[in-house]
Amino acid sequence: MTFPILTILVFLPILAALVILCLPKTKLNLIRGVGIVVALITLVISLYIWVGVSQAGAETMQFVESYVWIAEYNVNYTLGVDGLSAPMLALSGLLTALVLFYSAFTIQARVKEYYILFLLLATGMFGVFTALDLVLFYVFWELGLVPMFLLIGVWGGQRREYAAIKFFLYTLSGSVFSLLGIIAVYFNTGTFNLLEAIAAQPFVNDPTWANIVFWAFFVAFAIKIPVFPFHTWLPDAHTQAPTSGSVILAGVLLKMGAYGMMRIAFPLFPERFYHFSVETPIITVMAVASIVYGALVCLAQWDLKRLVAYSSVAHMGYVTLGIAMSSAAYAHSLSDTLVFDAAASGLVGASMQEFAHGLITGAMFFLVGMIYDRAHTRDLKAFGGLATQLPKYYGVMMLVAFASLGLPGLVGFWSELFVFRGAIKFMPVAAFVAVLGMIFTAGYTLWKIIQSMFFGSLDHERWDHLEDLTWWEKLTVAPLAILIVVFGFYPAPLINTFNAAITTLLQGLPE
Amino acid sequence: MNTIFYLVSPLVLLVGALLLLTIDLVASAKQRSASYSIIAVIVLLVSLLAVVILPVDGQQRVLSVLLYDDLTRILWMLAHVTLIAVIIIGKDYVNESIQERGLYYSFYLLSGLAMELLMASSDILMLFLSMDFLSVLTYVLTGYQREDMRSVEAATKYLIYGAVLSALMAFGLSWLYGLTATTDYTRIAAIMNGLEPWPLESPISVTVLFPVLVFIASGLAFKVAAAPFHQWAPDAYDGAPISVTAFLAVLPKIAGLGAFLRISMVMLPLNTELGHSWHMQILLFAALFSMTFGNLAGLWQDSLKRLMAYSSIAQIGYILLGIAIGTAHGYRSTVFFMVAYILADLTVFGVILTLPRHDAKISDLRGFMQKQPFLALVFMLAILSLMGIPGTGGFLAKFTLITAGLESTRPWIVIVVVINTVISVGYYWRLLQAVFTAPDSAAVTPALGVPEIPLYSHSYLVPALSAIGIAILGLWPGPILQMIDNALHILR
Repeated sequence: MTFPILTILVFLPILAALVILCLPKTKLNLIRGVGIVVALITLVISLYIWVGVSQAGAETMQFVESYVWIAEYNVNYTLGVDGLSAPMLALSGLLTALVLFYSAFTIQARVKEYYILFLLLATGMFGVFTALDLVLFYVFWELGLVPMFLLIGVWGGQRREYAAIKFFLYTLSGSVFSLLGIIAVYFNTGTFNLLEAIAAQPFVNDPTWANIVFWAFFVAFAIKIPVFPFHTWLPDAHTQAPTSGSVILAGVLLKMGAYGMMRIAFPLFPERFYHFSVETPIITVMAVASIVYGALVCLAQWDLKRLVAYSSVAHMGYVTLGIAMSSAAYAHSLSDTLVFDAAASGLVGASMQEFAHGLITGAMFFLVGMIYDRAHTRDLKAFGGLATQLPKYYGVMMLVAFASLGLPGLVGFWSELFVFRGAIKFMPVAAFVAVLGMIFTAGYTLWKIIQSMFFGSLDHERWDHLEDLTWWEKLTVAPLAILIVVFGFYPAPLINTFNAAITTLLQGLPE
Repeated sequence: MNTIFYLVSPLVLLVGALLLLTIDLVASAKQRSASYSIIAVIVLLVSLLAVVILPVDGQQRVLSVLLYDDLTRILWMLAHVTLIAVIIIGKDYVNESIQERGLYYSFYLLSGLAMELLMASSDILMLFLSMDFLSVLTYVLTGYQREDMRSVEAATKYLIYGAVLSALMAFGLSWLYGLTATTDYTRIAAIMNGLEPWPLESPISVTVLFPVLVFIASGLAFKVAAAPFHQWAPDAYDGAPISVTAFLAVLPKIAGLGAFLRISMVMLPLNTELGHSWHMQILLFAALFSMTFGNLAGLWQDSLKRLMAYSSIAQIGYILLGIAIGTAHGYRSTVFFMVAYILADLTVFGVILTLPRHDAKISDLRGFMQKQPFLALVFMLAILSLMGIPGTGGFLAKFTLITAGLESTRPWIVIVVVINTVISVGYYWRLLQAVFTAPDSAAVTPALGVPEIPLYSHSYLVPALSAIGIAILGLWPGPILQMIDNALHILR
């Protein structure tokens, strides 16, 4: 038996949550300490896993554990990671650690419950990125729902109840349909194991059922990503959530949708995905609409947090576009090297975008939270000239904003490059329209964020008391800023890991 | 072994009930106040022991009107355990607010007896008698606080409604008897399936028998509060003493579902023409209507008791759907779902009973997390189970149901289940939210909100054990699934 490192990674946070549950609620520092230390341990473990996976070549599933869970229904407890999931684990570990660190200084109310909920959430995230059994995947998927619901609903802004229940209802309605899909796949293939189900290609000869089940999965993941027109929960949830909640929501939870799309919906139904991306291009249209619409709304938005939330819609559109575009390769022969490369490049771009967006939006929401804590407003019209008042904040924000618009040398550039590289080959029209989105992105980043916040004249009466970043705020955003630059200049570790897994994934698909 | 031994358990309950009444007569007022609940629990434990130690030998007929097999056994055990739990969670309330407790607890024991007979009956006469026996007891319990007009009103509604439906059922059963000249389930099944000739004229068409099935189903649906015969439930839940509400929420359901299971499996199996309309038309309609109606109506409730009434109407819909599906997986899902439902409702009512205010609103739950963190956590677990969130028994219950549904001849029903799950979140979330949020100091006076004083240890017992049960069902369901399969195996 191998050392069950994935099980430890997944259940360590929940264990820590139980420990915190037993601590008295007045020992705030002890609670915070346990939370942060455990989050750091999971970060170290996830990095170790990433290294292990890339050393093993990242093509196949590593660290696999499998036990029978419910024999009556052939449900197994199967965990494993490959190049597609290992970086996401590291991202989850990093953001969880940062969020718990940041919250140690910003959250004073009901610290105990707050930390317990975040640790439960962490178990859900690690579980989703490691589960190889569809039922287990579903269990972890839903596990993250309730803590996030409570985090928004209790620690959130003024309209928190509305935002929390909207988030809950949207995500749940999507995911319960995916449960139907999961069980339908089971009846068709006889297994809940993801890899076996992919190998068996469910409903190949039954287009009606294939359509139903495909959409069941697609909608569940599309709501989570979120793809236009399923995005309406997102602005509310992000705006109302506490800063840390927004960071995790945008940084990791949205990626669960993208990951599910790439790990489950696309490989299970590559032919359907192709059909709805190219022949009846619903998915492509939705992806491009997300990009353009998200960016346009940002241009009209004066609430900084809402703006960042909508920018997520736009940025996650590239993920959907990348997958849709890869499926377009299905029309050509995958054995053609050029086609294969283009298809792989779409998926690599989508994965890169998942990771990059996690870093960028994570940092962005932290920065939004930091300015809000000082100024108690997010109204962009109220700001101006902050560059002199908050030079350090300004510097970090510039970096992150430029990464967000895809400046070469920063991490956001690579994902867009790869997505468009594939898209130009298979979907020139969609690529052209999506480029418009990039222009709008540059527009709102420069105009809304940079210019209206930092340039112009400073309202001295109002903002003279603002102080620049504190040491713990610097420590919170520094890792993200550094990684944005490091992976911007040297994306090879990311690209190689993703690429290896994606090559395997594409090779496993039927012609 | 003489099959009469299987009657030990019902007899113990009968003797126990009489014992309680006798004590009530002879004991002095001071002695009386002490320990009826303890005696009742001891009687139930003895009776449970009798069920547990008696081995089951295939399928045994008892007095030619009862059927004793593994299914009967686990249903009887379930009823005993649930009744004990209901007594424990209601103990403090009963001591405080109920007069004539000897009579009260003897009614509990008698209802246990009635339920045992109902769940084991294999004869339409026995079915009717035991069901009315149980109904009369529940009417009286509902109106037990004679000085409280709401309690009396609730009991009256319940009684009138019940009288009409039991008359309807009696009519249906007599019709059935008139056509088949027998009261025995197995023989009725044999005649209806053409294995034995019709005694009067042959053959009787399904069209003639269809109303009979509707009447029988109506009577049983009333018993378990399934739509469209659910209207009594919110009023009865609301008006009854809260300890009786907890009783109504679980026990009549076990009994009614036991009878439903038996009739559906023995008398009207899915693979016959008549059985097909029973399962796929009558029960399917009741199940889908029940879940949809219960969940929609629940969205507008503020009172905890009424909300739980609608929640249980919806849950009964899911449970009945398993029977409607009528396959081995369907029945398995029904029993599993029933256990999950009972555990969740016991937890919820165990927690509600610790609130000082018995007509509690949802907002009265505010601040629970800070004042009673343990109870708040188990309460949340129970609500999550009712919602069907993974990690709880409720999720696996829905999972078994959806699996059975997709396998059936009408796979579209799972869509209804799924949509209902989403709708139900629309009211369950308010409970979660209320428990978790800080108390609203302006709205709730401290005396009415969550108690800050440490509660008696027995107040924690049932919620804690039920919560453990919910977690076991959700995380490690293998053993219980096997038990259920064993119990259902004999009937296949």
